[in-house]
Amino acid sequence: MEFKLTKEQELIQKTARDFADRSIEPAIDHIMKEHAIPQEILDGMKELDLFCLPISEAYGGAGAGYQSYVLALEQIASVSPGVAIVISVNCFGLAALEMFGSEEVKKRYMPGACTGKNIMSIAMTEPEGADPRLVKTTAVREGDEYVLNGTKRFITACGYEGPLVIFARESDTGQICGFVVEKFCEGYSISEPWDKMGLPGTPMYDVYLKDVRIPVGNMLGELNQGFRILKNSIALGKIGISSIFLGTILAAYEECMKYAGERIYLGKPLTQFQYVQGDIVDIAMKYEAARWLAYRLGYLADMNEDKGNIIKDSALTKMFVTNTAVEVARSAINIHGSYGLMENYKVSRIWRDSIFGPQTEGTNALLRSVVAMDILKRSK
Amino acid sequence: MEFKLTKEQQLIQSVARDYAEKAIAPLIEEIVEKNEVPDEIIDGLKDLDLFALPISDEYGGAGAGYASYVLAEEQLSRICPGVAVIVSVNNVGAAAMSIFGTEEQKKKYLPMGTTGSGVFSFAFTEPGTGSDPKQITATADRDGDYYVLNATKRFITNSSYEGPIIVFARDTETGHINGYIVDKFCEGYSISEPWKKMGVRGAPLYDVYLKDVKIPKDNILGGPGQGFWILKVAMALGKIGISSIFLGAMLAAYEEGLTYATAKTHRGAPIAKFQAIQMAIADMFMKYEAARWMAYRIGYLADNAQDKGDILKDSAAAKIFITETAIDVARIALNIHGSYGLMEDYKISRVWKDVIFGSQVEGVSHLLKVLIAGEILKG
Repeated sequence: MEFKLTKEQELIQKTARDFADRSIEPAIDHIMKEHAIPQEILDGMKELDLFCLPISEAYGGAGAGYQSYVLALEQIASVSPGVAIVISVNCFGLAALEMFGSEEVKKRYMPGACTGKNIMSIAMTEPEGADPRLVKTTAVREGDEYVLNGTKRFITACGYEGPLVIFARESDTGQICGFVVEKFCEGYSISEPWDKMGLPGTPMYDVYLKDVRIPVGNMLGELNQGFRILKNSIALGKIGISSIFLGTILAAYEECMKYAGERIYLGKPLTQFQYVQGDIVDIAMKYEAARWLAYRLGYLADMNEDKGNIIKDSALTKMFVTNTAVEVARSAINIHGSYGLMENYKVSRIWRDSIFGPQTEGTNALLRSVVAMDILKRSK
Repeated sequence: MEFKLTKEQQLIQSVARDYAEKAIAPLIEEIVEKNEVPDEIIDGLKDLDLFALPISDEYGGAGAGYASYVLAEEQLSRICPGVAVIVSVNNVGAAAMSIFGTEEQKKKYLPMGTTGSGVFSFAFTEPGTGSDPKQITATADRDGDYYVLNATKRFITNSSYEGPIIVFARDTETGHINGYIVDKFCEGYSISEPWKKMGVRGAPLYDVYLKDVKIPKDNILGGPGQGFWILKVAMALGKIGISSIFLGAMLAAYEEGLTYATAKTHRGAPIAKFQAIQMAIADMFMKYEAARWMAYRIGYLADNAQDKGDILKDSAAAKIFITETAIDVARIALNIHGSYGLMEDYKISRVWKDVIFGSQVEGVSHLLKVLIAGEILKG
């Protein structure tokens, strides 16, 4: 066991934090108001290799692994979880291409999303829910092409140019497969963005595919690999979410330390009151517990070629970190009194953002059953 | 970062687990009833090098480090927290001596707590001190080549075994708090009846009385005036022990909950088939994973800290988190058991009585929070 960052990991962590503090923080009001991330922030992260940390260098990625990815996302999310979400969606789309795409698909699509202007999306959920068995989107084979039709819900980054990995039912076999579609091709359209209450900067849309034609080579993996691809993607998505809401906990902790140190009550700073000290320590302690679970998940992803093997660990980590983020946001608001309700204070944003964690990438209620089923299967 | 046990750590973990299952589990009812661990268990642990894992092999320890110690304590405690507490208190005393003792003291005393027939005790708390060392009233009067000690120490573990006890007292001449090395059952040493405690059976607590106990003047641990430093180190190490022990109790609760859920049927199906029970199982496991890596990490930190006092904040935070989580997990496991969980035929009823010790001992959670806050605010 070794609970220590390597020099490279420390460097990546620091680079991410510096970039977030210097380039993202000043743009926060703009991001909140416009609900969009300024292009120079996206370009800046690509230049620093922060946009595709776990992706292999052969296709334009940084080749730095998932531990570094967790560390970087945490720091960026501590300033703007919205920006971190865009990175995480891009990375898990890229990872699906890297693991299951043909050489041709990888060469065609990956460099643009690593270093170019493109950003990837990934689309599984439909209006009926997130259960892959309910997928209604169809991919009908016609000669050398597939024709795709369907509606996908709550899709991130689909307003950017770039490839979209979409899960649809293949017509000949009836199986779920992953297909690569170029966003804004003929037949691709998106809804108005959902009016969501937090995570500004990453609007979610519904995506409509109407007779979208793609070459058969744009199917990921083999015909019977759809569920395997999904399992990998599900695990990787949870690494992103765990890291991002770990960043939320960190931000809440930092805000409380700042506020409690400055705010004077009965002639002394709040930090001099034991009930406030108790709340701050609880936050620090929960951060430690969440942190090592999240870092461990990065480690497990680096050690497992088939990310489907870490579904249980990714689910329990995601549950723990996101539930903890909500608890911590609650105590952070508490320390701030009425000021915590005012948008001048970052903690009000943390409060709205934190609740996204337990709901996205599988609600925590659902994930508990994933974890439980795995335990029960093994205990037989 | 590397979240993986070494081969050696895996081996130590499995030796401890096997020993606990084969040698301790069959005697558990006797241990609980008599509040006493049979000597052959302590001898067996010593034979297997499990009794003094972090102590250097030069003095009879295993030299295996704190990461291994955490793993072994977890497994012992999974079967019997009382046994694990005896090991942990012995280690606090022996480690304090390893770190602060003279060569002569180490040669004379350490083997007693590693391979010999003794067990270390560590006596700091008094009826009036709570956890504040400044309140110590025990006295050490210099008398030529000797010190004469007078003290009443409260809630002292291992004090009925032969071996050394490290007693914290105030030097009446200098006012310093020092740790003094006393041989238990020397003239003037006596203990109370054991406290009637409800859990962690097998590791009885006594009050210890020293009445004009005479020790050589060299039996001070470290130099004069180092008492607070020694206490800081001992507090950090004690919290590693408690964290590991209540991690083990949590593991036991989880396993009991899981076993019961798969065996007990309701309307013709095991209750594990019901989603409500599945949620409970997932929550227990998730909490255990979070607690586990915090505990393993403080083992790692202890192995890598020059001054073990430096990890006091981390060990205190881990200790609060783990001991409070052990209570949560035991609550869930008991709930799965329904009314059966209240019956002493079921192990979970014992775990329930044990888990509440974690948050109270080695600094109650509230106090530790104030201590951690002090460290955080110092920056």
